Amino acid sequence: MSHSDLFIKKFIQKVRRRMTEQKVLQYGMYGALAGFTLATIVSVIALMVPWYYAPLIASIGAVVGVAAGITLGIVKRPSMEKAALGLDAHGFQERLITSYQLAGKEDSFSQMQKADTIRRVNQVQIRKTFPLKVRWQLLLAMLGTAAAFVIISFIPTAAKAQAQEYHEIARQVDEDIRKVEDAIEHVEKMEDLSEAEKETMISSLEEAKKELQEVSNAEDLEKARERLTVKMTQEANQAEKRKVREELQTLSDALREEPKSEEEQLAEDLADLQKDLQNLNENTSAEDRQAIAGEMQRLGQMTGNQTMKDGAAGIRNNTTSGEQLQNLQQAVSGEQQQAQANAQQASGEQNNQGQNNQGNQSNQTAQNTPNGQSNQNNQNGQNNQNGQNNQQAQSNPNGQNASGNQNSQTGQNNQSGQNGSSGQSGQGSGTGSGQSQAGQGGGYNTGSNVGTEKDPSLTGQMITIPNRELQDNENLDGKINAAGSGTTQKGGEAWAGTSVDYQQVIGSYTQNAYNKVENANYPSGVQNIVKSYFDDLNK
Amino acid sequence: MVQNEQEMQQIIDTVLRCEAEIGKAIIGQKGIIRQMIIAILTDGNVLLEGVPGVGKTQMVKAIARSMNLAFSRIQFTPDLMPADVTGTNLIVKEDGQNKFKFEAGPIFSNIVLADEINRATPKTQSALLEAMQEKTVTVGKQTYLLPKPFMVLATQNPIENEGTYPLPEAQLDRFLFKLNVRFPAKEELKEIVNLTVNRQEATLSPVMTADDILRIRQVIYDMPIADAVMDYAMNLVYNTHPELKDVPDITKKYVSNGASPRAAQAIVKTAKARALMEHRFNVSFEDIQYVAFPVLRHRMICNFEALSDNMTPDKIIAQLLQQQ
Repeated sequence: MSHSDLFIKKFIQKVRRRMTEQKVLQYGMYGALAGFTLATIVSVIALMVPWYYAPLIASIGAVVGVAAGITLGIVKRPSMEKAALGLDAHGFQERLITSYQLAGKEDSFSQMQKADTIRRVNQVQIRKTFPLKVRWQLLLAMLGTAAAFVIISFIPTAAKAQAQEYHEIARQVDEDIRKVEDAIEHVEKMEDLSEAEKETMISSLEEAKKELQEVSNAEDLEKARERLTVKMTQEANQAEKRKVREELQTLSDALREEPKSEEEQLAEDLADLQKDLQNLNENTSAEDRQAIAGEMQRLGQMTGNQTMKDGAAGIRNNTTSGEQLQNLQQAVSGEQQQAQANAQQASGEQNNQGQNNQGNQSNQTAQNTPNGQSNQNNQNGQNNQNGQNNQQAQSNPNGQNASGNQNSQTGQNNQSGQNGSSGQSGQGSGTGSGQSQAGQGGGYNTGSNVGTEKDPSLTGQMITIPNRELQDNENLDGKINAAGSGTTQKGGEAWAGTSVDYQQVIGSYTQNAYNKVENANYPSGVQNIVKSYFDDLNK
Repeated sequence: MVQNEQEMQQIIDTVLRCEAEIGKAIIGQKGIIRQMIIAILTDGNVLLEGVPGVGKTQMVKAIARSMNLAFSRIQFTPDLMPADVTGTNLIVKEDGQNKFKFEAGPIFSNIVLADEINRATPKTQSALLEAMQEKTVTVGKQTYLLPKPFMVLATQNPIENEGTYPLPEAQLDRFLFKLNVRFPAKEELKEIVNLTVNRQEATLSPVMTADDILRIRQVIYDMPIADAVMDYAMNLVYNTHPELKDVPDITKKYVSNGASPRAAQAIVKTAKARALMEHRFNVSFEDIQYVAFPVLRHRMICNFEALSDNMTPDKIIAQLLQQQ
């Protein structure tokens, strides 16, 4: 290539580069306008329709618009011929394009033509000849749409809040489903469970998973979680073997939204130990005794209970007498109640500080079995927006604390903004009347959003328990009468029966209903009908 | 072949001096003079159309004088015969014997002014047109070469239609240019009168010779033209044909027949000549636009609708150039 050909080629390349810059600027602005317009439309839609990903989509749209514009500008850049013609249009009368096409030709005429071209274009200032121009209308439109997009993005609306909520619920549902699937896998691998037990548990977990998949709002999610956690806890409590119980409890804990507090964990461990002591007999293996003793030693040290610490050695060596065993059981029971009360108090203090209690709050209900053994179920209530715990206590229908058994868990008055603290333990001998202060307020899986104090003197709706007469020593869920007794007088309303405050019994009825439908393996649709009914009653 | 820029510059200067020399005798009409020079330099024939007395004959004489070319004038009349144009064999006594001797007609000249060509019969017209095309004259069985350079400048009177024989379209196509000589402006008219009435006519000196013209023709043929410019010229000719697809609506509406490929050749070679006269070594779009009117106006046949809408070929050409 001759010197003149090289010069002309390089010159045209410079012109081409400049023209490309103009094209990129022009198309980039068109792209930005299109992108910001799309972003604005999406943002406007998001003002009215819950759309979580709208800001992301809008931003991506804007960026893609700009990028597409720039890319199009580069793709549509002029060819060398077009660039040459572009400069020729500025008064060079096709000298440059002719010279470019004469590249390689060295006859005299071609040389003269190229020399003439070089003479003319040598003085050209490309930047001055091709200034970068922007149409002000286009610039204005682009800036306008960009500003509209930014402003609209920051306008808070109900739809945006709703979208955030829906997204959070969906995320939590996915997380919970994953936990359930992990739990199913774990159960399948548990060797200490029989095939039938595994099948039952997996079936419950699958139902829970199905229920989670049908969740559409926060309330349903909470209910589904509560039922799932309660179910797992129930399974854990019903397991005979300690190891199985521990594993199931671990599963239940894994399914909880929030980790347990130390007090809650201590209370649970003490409850487990209590159960182990109840099941302790001559046939208990040395290995299990070792485990129980170790646990008693550990918990004794945690609580500072000397009886427990001293009793550990006896358990281990199988030298504990019946009376000593009873004392140990009482000691453990007492510590368990204290731990439970501490856990509730700690949760209540947090609520008293006005924090939203988004997690589950435990409603503890104590049910005394007919044999006077208490079962404590930790049940999770609904979010108590005002940070209140509702607790309900049910007294032993036989009015008894079985010998050596734990006292019934007492409930607490529900006062606005305050947690009920742990109630007083019921006292009683094997035949004594178990007296307890009835807790008030909603119980099982429900909580009162408005924690107004329930004054027992205020009338609630009274219901009659029909066709039922009290036995002499029978106590019903009811208010303490003036004599301090939990008995309720015979007689009642139009039906033969006993009249009690609605609020006092709804908790236990709800709990019973939940237990029945779950344990009886009703279809999930039927279960949901029953549960929804009682949920509505508890509202 | 031109060796260097200096030679080229000399050629250009010669042409421009010739143009200036002709301008001494002809007041105004600078465009016509330039176009006629272009036609001579590109070996073409020109059809001049204008009212009587605008200086058509004077112009041709001035060109011939400044280019030092032989000039002859043929006044076409209805009774003019072909032999009156081409020449004929005459019986002459030579060495005591009667022989035929060819007596050359007025066509045997460098520049032939065919005045009022539309007044002669088609038979006579065809004799001239054959010479224009072939650059030869055939009388009997003998063919005689016409001198080089050879150029016919035919004139037409646009006013008189009675007793005329308009040139057929096929014959019109043989003219490189059709130039409309307009009536001079008032100032120009005054100058013309001053020149011709009040003082002696200007004396013109020859500036170039026949050999110069032939050499310049070769230079013009070597002038490069870019593909884009060539495409521009071809599109222009293409767009004059209403029967072709993708042509402008104005062509479809007003044109019945488009320009022939001869028009495309004419546009390109005359554009080259014009580029040379503009001190350029390449053809530009501007050159194409300049020569488009004289090349195409007599080659496009307009229909009756154009006539009724007062749409002339020049207006159509202007619109076609605008749309390109």
